[in-house]
Amino acid sequence: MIIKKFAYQPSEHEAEKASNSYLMTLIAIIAGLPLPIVNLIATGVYYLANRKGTYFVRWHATQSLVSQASIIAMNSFGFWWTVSIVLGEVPIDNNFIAYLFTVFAFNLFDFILTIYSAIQTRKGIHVEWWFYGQVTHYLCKP
Amino acid sequence: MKNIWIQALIILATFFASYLFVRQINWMKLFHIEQISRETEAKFGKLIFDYIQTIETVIEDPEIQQPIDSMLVRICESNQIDSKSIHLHIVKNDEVNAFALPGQHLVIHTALITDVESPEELSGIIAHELAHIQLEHVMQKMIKEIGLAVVISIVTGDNGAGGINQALKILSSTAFDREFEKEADLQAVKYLINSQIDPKPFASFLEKLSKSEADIPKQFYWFSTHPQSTERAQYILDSCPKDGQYNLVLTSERWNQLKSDCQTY
Repeated sequence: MIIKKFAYQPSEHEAEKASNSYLMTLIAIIAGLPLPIVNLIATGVYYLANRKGTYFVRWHATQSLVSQASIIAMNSFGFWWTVSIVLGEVPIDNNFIAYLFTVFAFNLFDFILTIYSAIQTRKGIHVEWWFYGQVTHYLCKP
Repeated sequence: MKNIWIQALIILATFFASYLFVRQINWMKLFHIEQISRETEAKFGKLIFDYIQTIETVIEDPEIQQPIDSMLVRICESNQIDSKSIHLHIVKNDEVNAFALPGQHLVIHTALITDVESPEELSGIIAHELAHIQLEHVMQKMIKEIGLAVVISIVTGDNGAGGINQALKILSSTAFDREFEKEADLQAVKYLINSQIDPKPFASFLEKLSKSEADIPKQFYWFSTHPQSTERAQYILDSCPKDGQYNLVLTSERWNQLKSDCQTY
């Protein structure tokens, strides 16, 4: 994660809206467990609601959405693997438990980064995630 | 753009490397999952068998038990299976049936003993059910049919007798998957060969069934729930060695005595 100077200094209102895009993810994760799709839907809805917002708001809503997309892929795989075990399609094994722990660690890391990003953007500080920041720059133009 | 792809690859590689690293730890052992599964299975099997005891007559007569137990012990000992871990039960019942329960219980109905023509045929059926037990098909079938949550609720006592009755019906009157049946048939042939018991009567038994499948009365559960008997008989015969050396399972006097005892019990 890199703290960078944004193209302009965002206003108090913009900082609040940008910070909310990360908070939306956090609330949706808590509310949406164990269904991994809920956080992506909530972040997506927030992104759509703010797609005509200012550049700073759009940029952070996009980064929040993009970061959720990869988490959703690994969570969905784990979710359906769990469903298969519950339905008796496959037995519980070491691979499954190892996968759950790995996914948990990545989710926790994502969770911490999201909280940090929410706090920083609320202060009007622009934070770019490694990889996701670059994807966001590619997708979100001024 | 190239930079983005490299970074995406690094993230993917980090994820898979982390997964491979975490996978090195034996979580199953660490959380005693296998032990818990075994205990749950044993408890589940005991609950079902206790239920059978309340609705059926379980035969304790050594004249009937001993010859069948000797077949089971012979198959187990020749295949490095602990025979004491298999709980054999002979139940007085007019349905021609044999089935495995969770917790390594093997139930044989008296009607099956009186119906088969030779001890080799009966040994084949015992070996087949033993294979289901050893290959852990029983719990897999149970979870697939009624779901893990229901199994747990039965074991923890939240489901009552209805759940146990449902589990018993599934185990005694529905077939395993075709793949499981084939696996158990082929494993049974291996068990029989290692025990120097001729597997061909087991195949003939299935062949005989296939010819009369259309006329099978409803009470012939073991037959009607094990479909494609012709195909099964064929692959069993194909897996039999041409020059196998086999020993007698029971003398004809003892076999006839056993059948007579089962009929008159």
